Amino acid sequence: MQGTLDLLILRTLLHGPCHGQGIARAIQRQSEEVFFVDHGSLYLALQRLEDKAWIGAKWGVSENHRKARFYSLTAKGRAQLVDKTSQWRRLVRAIGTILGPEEQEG
Amino acid sequence: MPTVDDPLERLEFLQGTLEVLILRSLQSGPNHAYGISQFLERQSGHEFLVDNGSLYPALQRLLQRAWIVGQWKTSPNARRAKYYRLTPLGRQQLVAATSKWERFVEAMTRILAPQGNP
Repeated sequence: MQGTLDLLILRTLLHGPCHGQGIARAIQRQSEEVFFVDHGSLYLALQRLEDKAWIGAKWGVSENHRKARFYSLTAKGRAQLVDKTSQWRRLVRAIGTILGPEEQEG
Repeated sequence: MPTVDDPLERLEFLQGTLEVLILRSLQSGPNHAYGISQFLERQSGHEFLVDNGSLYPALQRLLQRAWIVGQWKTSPNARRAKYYRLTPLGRQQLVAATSKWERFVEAMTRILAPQGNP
């Protein structure tokens, strides 16, 4: 789910700038390994978010001394995060109501 | 991301999910396409407007996987309509997909938890 990954990335960057691999690891860890983030989709998503100026990117050096792009949330991205989070909750509520236990229909 | 106000983005999110929702709508009995979209609209508190452009391809995919079958019948208002019903395989799939959905939501909720709320 493309939009979901965008939301997860924005949420992860709320804790501070991070490189791609770190973002993937954080999402996997926080989801308790329910989500597996493959690199292809991750980098496409990062590119998309950068194009929208929801995140910014800068070259830096990672903890294992490798050159890496560090991504950070922009003010615009932060606003989007708030927005998308509440939209996500709304949508999940609607789907949850449909999938919920069968009720008497009148 | 699911945008309730942006049909395109909403659709993108719903691909896959729509199929599960269709299966759920047939749990209590067979229905025609229009009935399915009405059910989804009503049950979601009018959050979802399922347009034919996404409904029919989704039904097609479900038919191909033999999760549903279709049969022509006459509807209560004397119109010919194709009625879809769940197969045993579709019923199994619904159970599996629902628990997968619950796991997905749990994981998302954990990540989006207000700890350090944006």
